[in-house]
Amino acid sequence: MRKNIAEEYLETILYLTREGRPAKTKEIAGAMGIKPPSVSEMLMKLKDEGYVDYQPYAGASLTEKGRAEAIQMERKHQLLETFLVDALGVELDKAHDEACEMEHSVSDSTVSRICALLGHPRFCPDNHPITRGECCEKSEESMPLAELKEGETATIKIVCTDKSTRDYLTSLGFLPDVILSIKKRLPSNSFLVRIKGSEIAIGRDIAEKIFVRKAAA
Amino acid sequence: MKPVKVALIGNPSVGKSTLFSRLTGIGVIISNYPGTTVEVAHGRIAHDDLVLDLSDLPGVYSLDTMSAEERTTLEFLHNEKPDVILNVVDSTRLERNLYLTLEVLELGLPVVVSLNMVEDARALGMDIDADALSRILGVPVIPTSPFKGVGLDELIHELAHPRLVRPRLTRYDRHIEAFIRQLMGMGLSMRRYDAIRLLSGNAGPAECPEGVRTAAGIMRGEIERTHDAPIGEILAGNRYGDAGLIAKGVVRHRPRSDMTAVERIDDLLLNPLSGFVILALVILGMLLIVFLVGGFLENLIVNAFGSLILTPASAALAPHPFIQVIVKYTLIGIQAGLGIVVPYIMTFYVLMSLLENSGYMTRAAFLLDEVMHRFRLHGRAMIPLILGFGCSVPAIMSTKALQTKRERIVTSSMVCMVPCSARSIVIMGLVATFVSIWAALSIYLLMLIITILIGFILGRVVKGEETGFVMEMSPLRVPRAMDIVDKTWVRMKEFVYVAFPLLTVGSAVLGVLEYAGILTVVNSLLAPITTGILGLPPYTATALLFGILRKEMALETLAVLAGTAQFNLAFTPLQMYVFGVFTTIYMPCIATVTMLSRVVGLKDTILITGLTFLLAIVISGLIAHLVPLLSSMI
Repeated sequence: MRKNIAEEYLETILYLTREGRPAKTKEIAGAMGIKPPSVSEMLMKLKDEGYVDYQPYAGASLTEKGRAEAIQMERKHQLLETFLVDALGVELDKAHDEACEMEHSVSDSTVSRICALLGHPRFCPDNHPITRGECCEKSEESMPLAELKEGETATIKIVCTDKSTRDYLTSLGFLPDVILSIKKRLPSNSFLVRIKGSEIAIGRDIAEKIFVRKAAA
Repeated sequence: MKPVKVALIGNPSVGKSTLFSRLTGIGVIISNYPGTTVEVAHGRIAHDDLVLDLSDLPGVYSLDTMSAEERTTLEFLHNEKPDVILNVVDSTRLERNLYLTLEVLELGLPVVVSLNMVEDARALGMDIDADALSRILGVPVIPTSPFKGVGLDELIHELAHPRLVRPRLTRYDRHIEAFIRQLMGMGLSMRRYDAIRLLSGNAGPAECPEGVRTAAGIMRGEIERTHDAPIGEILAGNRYGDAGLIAKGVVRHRPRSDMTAVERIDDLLLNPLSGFVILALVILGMLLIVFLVGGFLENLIVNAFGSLILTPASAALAPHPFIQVIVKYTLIGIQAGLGIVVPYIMTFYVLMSLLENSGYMTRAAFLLDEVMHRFRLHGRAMIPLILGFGCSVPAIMSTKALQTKRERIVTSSMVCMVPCSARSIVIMGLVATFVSIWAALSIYLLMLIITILIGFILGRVVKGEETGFVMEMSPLRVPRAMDIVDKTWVRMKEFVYVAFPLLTVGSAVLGVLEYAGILTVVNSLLAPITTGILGLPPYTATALLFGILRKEMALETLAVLAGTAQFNLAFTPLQMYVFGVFTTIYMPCIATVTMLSRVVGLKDTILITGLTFLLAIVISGLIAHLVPLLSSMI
């Protein structure tokens, strides 16, 4: 059970330090319902293992390592909560409590599967953003427009050009989730794209910076 | 009665300028590709007792980026405060056009929508319910077709009686709507439009209190954080969503069959193989037609003028030598103008207008981008270069549509090297006629190489922001005769009203100077260059000086000075060739220099002009000296 407690500590500190100032021992004790001396003792142990920066009286904050760990825990928690609420119809309060228990025992691969089942959700039932995991990035499978073949259809994911070009492209309808198709591509450089009922010619340098997801054939 | 101020706003190439010239009867150049009307054209309609002042604003895709066209449009709206906006919409691209319409409606001014090119849309199998669109948008929507005069009267009537109604406003994301309401509550006379502009990060109204500005900034930050996207993208997404819904609601698609023919032609034009072959044929064909038709007309006009007017007139005035000189030289000026300017330039502009209005020009730019990107130039820069074959002045003006100063400088320098129709007159009238057509083509080839080299070098040397190639492709359309005539006339007007008087007076002055013997002094001063470096007779200096006024005057003056238009009697082929090359390269004409300084600034203009002069001396000098050397060696 020691691992569980350590993970709970990290999550609590992540929550308390979100404003950017260190979490006081007293605050941690309050949030977790534990006596302050036990908290200090645990914080010293976490400091030895390199998860937190802790100065008695000043308070505790997360190291890079601790932060990554805490964010992963938070993600697990949010995904489980979303799963319980959205897929199983569990009440929100109950889902929160149970997710708190389950997050410590569930494996990473199971969480990825839950994430995929839910369609890689971006927000949890409390409307907090869910950190994107590796599985979310993979599922996007976006590629530059420049790699599309003639006649292929795709959906825009993101436009990564400089601001003035992006503004211009935006006014022509190059926005996320808009469908486009390649009407013509010349061997070395130019593309003719059909979008929003008109035809736009773009050069390769820009086509490299528009990321799309190919539509299912 | 006070005139009603009308501003025409619409996407590029939606027939805005055509509509404008049909309404006002004045000639505005209509171009079937994006980015030509950067300046604002004005016109006035007096209809019964109504007076409408129309302003044709440059074509824009939206009102919130910072491109040159959009800045011009916003500044105009701010400074001129039009009474009503005429939003011209291309029916064939309704969804994209409605995006701008929705932005225009937010301005809070009376708006009249002209549903333009309804016939083209019908031919594509789209039926648009104008009444339904009018009900949805909450403003008058008039289907128009300027070629047939459909809808013009209704349009004038609606414009003359502007009504401010409650138009359809885009409902943004509820988060954004809440902030818009908050901002409108904060500022006293804050309009919805101002609130949206403040939120999207623009300056907003000048009198806006600092606190409101800060609040808008905080709101923007929060929206961007929670949506994980820039605010511009969210607003645009909402507007496009709305535009899509509206378009879906009012357009009925019919099954179409006759489109395949146009699509097949388009496919041929854009195919990597046939496309480039056609492009090469088109450019070559243009030069040949200009030469053949121009040459034919030139002969006809020059001979008729010479035998019918010039010879009898100078014979009649033989007893009064001074008057005879003036009259004779004036008439030679007129003859040169009629015989050289009209046939070549008119033919060129007719062909040019055909290319533009058929939509081929954008296809040419698309194909040429494939080649030009190797020189770090993109297809959009090709349009000014192609225009440059007609006249450098509008070509340089059109570089204003390019996004960065770097592109403008590189492209306008290149334009200065493209043989414009005036320089073509010299090349065709002198080299092609009296040396050989191949010699003339070799000058074009030489200029092509120089232009590409300049682009290549400047493309690397000139520092600045680089932007990629993005250009809307105009649909293929059958060009209409009336537009071609209009467009040719508008472009010819400049020559008729400016060049002609200049030419005639210049010619007369030349006659007097010749009579007084002043030219001999000038010629001997410039002799080291003309005779020493270029191997030309000293009097060519005068011709070249006049060539600065207008390039074709170099040839016309030469004819006057040589005393004959049969140049092979006065010059060797090499001299004619050198004169042709020198005239083509040495400094741009005075009108081009003026336009250049307006676009790229005085400093760069002087630099460009100086460089062309040096280049001309070096290249023509090399030809003049190396050719005899080489031929003696063989």
